[in-house]
Amino acid sequence: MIEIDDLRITFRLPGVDVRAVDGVSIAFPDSEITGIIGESGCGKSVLGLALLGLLPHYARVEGRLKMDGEALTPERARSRLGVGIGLIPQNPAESLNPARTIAFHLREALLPLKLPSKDVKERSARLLRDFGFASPERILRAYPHELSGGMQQRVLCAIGSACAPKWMLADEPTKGLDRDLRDQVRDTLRSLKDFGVESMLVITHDLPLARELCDNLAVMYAGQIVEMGPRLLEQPMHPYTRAFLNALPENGFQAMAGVAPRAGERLPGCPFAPRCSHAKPRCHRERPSETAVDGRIVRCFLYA
Amino acid sequence: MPECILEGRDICKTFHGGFGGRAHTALKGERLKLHRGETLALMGPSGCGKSTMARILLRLIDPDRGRVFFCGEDITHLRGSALKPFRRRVQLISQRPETFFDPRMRLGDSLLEPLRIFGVAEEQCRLPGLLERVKLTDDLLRRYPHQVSGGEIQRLSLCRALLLAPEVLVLDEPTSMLDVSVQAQILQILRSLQEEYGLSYLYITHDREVAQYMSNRIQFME
Repeated sequence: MIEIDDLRITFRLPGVDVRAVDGVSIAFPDSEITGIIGESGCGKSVLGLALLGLLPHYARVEGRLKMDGEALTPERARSRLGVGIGLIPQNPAESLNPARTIAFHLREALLPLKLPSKDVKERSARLLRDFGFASPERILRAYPHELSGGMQQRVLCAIGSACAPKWMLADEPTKGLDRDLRDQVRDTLRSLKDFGVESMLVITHDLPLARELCDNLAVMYAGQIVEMGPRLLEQPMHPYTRAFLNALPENGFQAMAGVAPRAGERLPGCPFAPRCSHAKPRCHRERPSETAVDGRIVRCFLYA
Repeated sequence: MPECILEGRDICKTFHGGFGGRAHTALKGERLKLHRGETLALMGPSGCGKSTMARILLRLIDPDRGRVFFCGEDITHLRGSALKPFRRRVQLISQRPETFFDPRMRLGDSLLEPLRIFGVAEEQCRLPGLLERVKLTDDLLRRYPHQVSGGEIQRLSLCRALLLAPEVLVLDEPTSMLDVSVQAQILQILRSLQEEYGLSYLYITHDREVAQYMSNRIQFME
């Protein structure tokens, strides 16, 4: 189980402090797929990087992170990278070294297992075959630019699960992919359980993926979790979640009014208040705290 | 029937020296006609040659065979300065707008670069109005590309393309990297801009719902 308690992450930039994660408390239970959804810039990827110990040195981290009851320091998180928590990063094209073959990438991912070189080759080919490549030998010899976006994404899934980590963090795994490839990636993520991955965190703004894949969802807005619980997309409660769902094709691509708070802008009240059709004067003055409603946690005065 | 503004006839393109040193045929006699004022969605799975077709129609790469027509004129073999008027009238919006902006230049300077290239006076262009149309404020112009969000930079690239008063926009998956709420915003902006300026859109997408929402016609590629 991964537990996060009152996590605040601030980036100190020239002239401005940007609070990317603003008081997040959440637990990710074992054997479940938890999705973190929200618009770009809401802090979901930063939260993921904190779990992996991969935040830049100028990030100030406050609050507590625990994994299986033990404090998850950045050093500990990094030492468990690939073995304890695997990562499927976003932007596949930028996550692979353009000057190295796929074989090199997989060899590197398999290093913690200390396999003899013959086994490394065999294991690499098998991983690629597991992730849907019909002729893995050809892919092993290829360079990243020779593969399509979907192929690169599957290679990254293979790299992430190379050492069969117990946890997997998938950061925007379907960004920019077409529907067929998206479905492929979803099935690939589901199949990760066959490779030893027990629990997963999926950071995404792909709502259909979140709906199809995740047992639990947390919705983030401006560094805060505004709503979390199961079957959240079917019956959204927070006004932000509702507005976010209105932008889906089946709801006619309705654009949300207003803009998200700028980086470094910290409103005294609820960060969604300026865009919220239900906002009352109190929402602009005070920050709502988390309220438990029907097995759900919502951060909104409508339910307080 | 409205006039055909951009047309590709029997376009063939093969890339050599690719995967495993083998030739890869991207297009085999593909045809496409875009009429004035319409949105034609070009759909198909990744790797089917949609973007290659767009690059050929934009005259960014040459076809092996086939011809490209713009307003009835064969522009397949035009080069250099002969292509300049075409460049101004047909603009590209990409899936990755951040790669269209120099990371060392302020966004305002990048935005005005095309005006310098085409010798248009800044006062003659419709920048303040356009910024408002794409729902941006001018404080953004002092920033650098890495300091704005994906949705903001896509709207800036739209604004830059429209500064030159083009007739055609080739939109290559303009929202596929954006989240749903930003996507909805961009789609609304694109629709209202088309209405206002009478633009023709060649809209490349792999998203059926976006294609249906945006286009008058859909052409599928295998």
